[in-house]
Parts: sequence; structure tokens; C-alpha cells
Amino acid sequence: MRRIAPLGLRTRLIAAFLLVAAISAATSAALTYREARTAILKQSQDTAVSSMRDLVGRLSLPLPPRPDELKSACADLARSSQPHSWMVYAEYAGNTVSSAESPNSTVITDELRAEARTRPNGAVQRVRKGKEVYLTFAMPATFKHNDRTQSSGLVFYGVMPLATEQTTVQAMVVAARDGALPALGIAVIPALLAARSVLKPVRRLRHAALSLGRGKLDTRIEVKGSDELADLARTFNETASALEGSVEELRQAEARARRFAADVSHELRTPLAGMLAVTEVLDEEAVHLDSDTAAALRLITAETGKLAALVEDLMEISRFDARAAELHADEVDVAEFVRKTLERRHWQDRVATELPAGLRARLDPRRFDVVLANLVGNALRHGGADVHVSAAEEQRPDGARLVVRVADSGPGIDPEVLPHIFDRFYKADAARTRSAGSGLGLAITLENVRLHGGGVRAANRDGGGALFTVEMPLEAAV
Amino acid sequence: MTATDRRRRRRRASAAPATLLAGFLLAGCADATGIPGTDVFEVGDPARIKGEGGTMLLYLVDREGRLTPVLRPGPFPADPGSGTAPASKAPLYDTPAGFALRALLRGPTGAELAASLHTELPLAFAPVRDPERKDGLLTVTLPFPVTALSEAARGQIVCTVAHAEPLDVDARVVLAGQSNSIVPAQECPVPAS
Repeated sequence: MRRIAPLGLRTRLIAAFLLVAAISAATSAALTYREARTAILKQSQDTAVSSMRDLVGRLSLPLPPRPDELKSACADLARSSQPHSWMVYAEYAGNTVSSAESPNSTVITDELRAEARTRPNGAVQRVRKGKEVYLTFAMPATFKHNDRTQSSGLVFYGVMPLATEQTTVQAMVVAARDGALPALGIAVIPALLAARSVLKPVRRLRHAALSLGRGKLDTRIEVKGSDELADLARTFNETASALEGSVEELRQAEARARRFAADVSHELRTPLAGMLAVTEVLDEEAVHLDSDTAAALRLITAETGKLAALVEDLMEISRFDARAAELHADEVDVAEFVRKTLERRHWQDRVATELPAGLRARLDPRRFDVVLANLVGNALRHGGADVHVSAAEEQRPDGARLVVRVADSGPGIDPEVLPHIFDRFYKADAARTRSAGSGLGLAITLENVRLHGGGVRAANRDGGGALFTVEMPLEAAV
Repeated sequence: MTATDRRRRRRRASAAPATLLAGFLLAGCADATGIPGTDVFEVGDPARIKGEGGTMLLYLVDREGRLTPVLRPGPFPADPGSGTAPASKAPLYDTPAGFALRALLRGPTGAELAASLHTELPLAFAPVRDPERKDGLLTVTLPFPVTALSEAARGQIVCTVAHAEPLDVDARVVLAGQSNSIVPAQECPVPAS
């Protein structure tokens, strides 16, 4: 049963149709066969019995009949037999004669004999003997004396093989079977049509659902008819509309939020630029002020610088969000590029490198510089010394990849933090409200690498320390 | 009800039509083997032959002890209503019943014996009187004791006497014999219509 359960709708429909067709064909064939068989047998039997009655009624015999007369009467009856030839047996006073060679029949049963002797009526019995079927019938002879009819004690028996009827009945069985099989075959056609009418809308619905899942929220189904499948299609369309509306609303809300962030950053930039210029001047003047005032002044200067950096980062991320970030690809020597990036920030002495000579890649120099600076800066800040940068070309199924690894020997990354490390403003330590970074460094790194068509992974090394792996196409597509 | 039970119930439900179908097919196959045998059943009236051999009806007994009618030539026509004896006949033979009774008591003929018929009555060549009609009864007086007669022998006399004339067919017959033996009135056990 469990094996049958996962069969398809089409198979089940065909099976159901075939079942119905088989039941109706078998039932009607069986009923027709039964009726026809009964009719055929009844006709043969009636013909045989009534012709026997007629023939016996024409006899004129002395009572008691002489055996030779009785035997010739049997022969006469057998000659005139209908519808097929019978053998005729006559029984009188316990003696039997017949039209056949043996005076006694092996087919006539004792029940028929007893019935014929005790009741003055014609009697019939169908007897199966091996494969043959016989109609046996008894016809007691009465006679009239003094206007009263009474039994003469003489009984005639007929034995008629039903071979012809058997053949006819067999032919009917064959005909019924031969009629039922094409009916079953024909039943497959409506089954297939019904399956088609159900499966076609189901297939359309499936394609539509797949399309919806791929993000084509404007997918709709043509609603045909008014059946349950049409209802389903209508429901699908309504659901898709509702989904599209919700998604559109979300998108708009998100866009508004991003625009707001971009606007805020932009609006902050101008006053901050002014503030920076002023704080620089004040910083220079700080040496002339008393120490407390100078310290306060320097704090303002530092914080203003951080604020300016944060605003820059915010604007950068806003550009990514607005998909306004562009890739300006250029061919560079990776080893030389990395070395320059480190030198520019005076990190060359604190970072060990492993850079193969002659490895060239096509990438956006400015963005790749940001990526390197963020990762190495992070490593230096959180992982301490022993930062190691390596670059290599590796082959992947979809082409050559530039793989840059930045490793440190610090405490590593908390496993709970690991999944969120590229999130915006995600602080590894919730208590640490102030840090050197803006909280956007890794997010910007990820966006930059993605812009190149690559990805960044963060992991903990077996020996301790964090490992960031940048992987991007050797030839960035512009 | 657990989920397993429900599944089982569903399975049972889906098994029902299949069982039905199998039943149908099996019934069809059993039927398809051909023509079945039957019990004995009646089909209409018996045949009526014309009895030859005479107008006098006697009852003999066959090998199985059943009363069997035989016809012999008689002095009287079989027509109803003409049961009176011809004037030329002796007074002892004045009724068909008496004539038949005396013929019966003389035993079966050769042809009757050849047909395996016999009589269970003792042979009597002494004169036997005609049956007397009294109070709606026919009394037959026989020259031998009647109480020792077999059932079949009594039937032979009763039926022979009763069927001799059309009016007497349903009459009750008393048998009287030697030594004041007497058998109460009885009807002929052979059905006639």
C-alpha cells in the first residue's frame, strides 16, 4: 500500500477510470451472460420437454406394454427428438428399455426417478458428468379410463447432451471478454483527458510558484473556468498581489531609510569640514594654553576627526546601498600594491607578507586599498602583532581567483560573534561603546569585495587568532 | 486516535472497492466455467397416452409393491352411463364391478406376468358375488379371510371395484370374508382426476 501511495495524479486517475470501467464491464457482462445463458437453456429445455410430451401423447400402448413395443416406441421417440437428439429410456414396473444400447442410463439420477414416480408431472434436471452437461427429463404417461386420468406406471426419460448450448455459452463468455477489453482500453482515453485537464493547471501553477519564488512578484496565472483549480489560481493571484504590495512597501521604507542616512551624512559633512579646519588651528594654538584646556582641545580635535571618518564611512555605505558605487578596474601587480598599501600607513614593519612576484590582477585600486587597510588595520588593532598577509592565485571551477589572507595571532573571534562580524555597527563587545573603528569597516570591506564579484570569510585559526580570507576573480568584470 | 490508526482506516477504506471488484471478477470466473447442474424441478403436465387392450381396468402389483393398472378386454363398453349388463349374460356377471373382481381373482395373464406384474390375492375359482351397494358403501364378499390380506392386495380389490364404474371411483369399499372377517371401508389409494 505504501508503495502505491506516491503514484502521480495521472496514474491514480487512470487507475480509477480503469477500475470503474472494469467493474461496469464485468458487471454488465456477467448480468448479460447470466440472462442469455438462462434464456438459451430454458428454450432448449422447454423445446425438449414439450416435444417429448407431444410425442408421448401420440402413443397408443397396451397396458401392460410389451417390452418389444416399448423399445420400438423409445426408438421412435428418439428419432423425432428436438431440439437435439435425445436418448429415450422407458421404465415400467421396475423394468427399463431404451433407444440406446444399454437399457439403463448412467446420467439419470435417482432423484429424478423418484420425482417422476411419486408425482405425476414432467420433471427436469440438468446433470454435469465430467465436462459434459446433460438435460435429463422425465415424462410420466397417464391414461384415461372412465373419464378419469390416472398414472399408467410408465415413465419415459429423455437424456439430451447440451454440447451445443455449452459451445454457445462458451462463445458468449469469449464475446463478453472481447467486448470488455476494448472498453477498458477506451476508458484510458477519458482518463488521460481528465488527467490532462487537471494536470495542466497544476503545472501552470507550479511554474508560476517557481517564478514567484525567483523574485518575479508580478507573476500571475490566467484564471479559466470556475472549478476548484480556478479558485486555486485566483487565490494564488491574490496572494502574489498581496506579496508584491508588501515587498514594494518594504522596499520603499528601506529606500527612505537609506536616503535619510545618506542625507544626514551629507548634511553633516559640511559643518564637520568647517569644524575640522577650526580644530586644526586650535590644535596648533594648544601649546600656548594651560594643560587642562589643551587636553580638552585635543580631545575635541580627535573626536571631530573620528566623526568625520564615520560620516565618510556612512556616505560610502550609502553609496553601496543606493547601488551608486562604481568599479574602476585597473591592472595592478598584487605584491607591489599590497606593499605600497602597508607602506602608506607605516605598517610594513609590523606585518609579515608572503607575496608571489609577478601575480597580476585586474581590480579597482582604491577599493582594494580600502579592503586591505580595513582587514590589516583590524588585525593590528584586535589581534596585536604578528599579522600575516598572503596573496595567491587559486583555480576554482568558475575561473582563476585572487585569494588574499589576513591572519593575526590574537585571541580570535568569539564563535557567537562570527556570524555577525560583517554586520553594520556590530560590536564584538557590547560593553565597549567606544572603539577606534567606526563600526562600518568590515561592512564596507564586504561591499567592496562583493563589488568585485567575490566574497570575504572570517574564521578562527586552529592555532589561535583570526583569519580573514578575501576571494575574488582575478579579472574583475567591470 | 493516532495517525497510524487513521492511516490504517484509510487503507481499509481504499481496500473495500478493490475487494468488491475482486468479488465480481471471481463470481464472473466461477460463472464462466459453463453450465451448472441443477436440482430436479417440475415442468408442466405429464403426457397422456392412449391405453390399449380393452375396457376393463384391473390393478396388479409391480416388483416394488406399487399398484399398477392394466387393461383387459371387458364385456362392457367404456362409455359412462351404459353400465348395465347385456341381457344374454348370466346373472352372476351382471355388473362391471363383479366382472372385473372375478377377473382379478383369476390372476394375471401371461403378458402381465411377462411385464413383471403379479397379484397378491389368493386365487379363487369359487363363485364370487357382485359387490353390494348399501348406504353409499360397496361391500365385497370374498371366499377367503380378508384380515390377513396385504395392503397392496386390499388396494387391488378396492381400486378394481371402484374404477369399474365411473360413479364409484371415489366410493368407499368394505371387504368381508370367510370366518366373519371384515376390513373397514377404504378408498382406492391410486389418485385419479
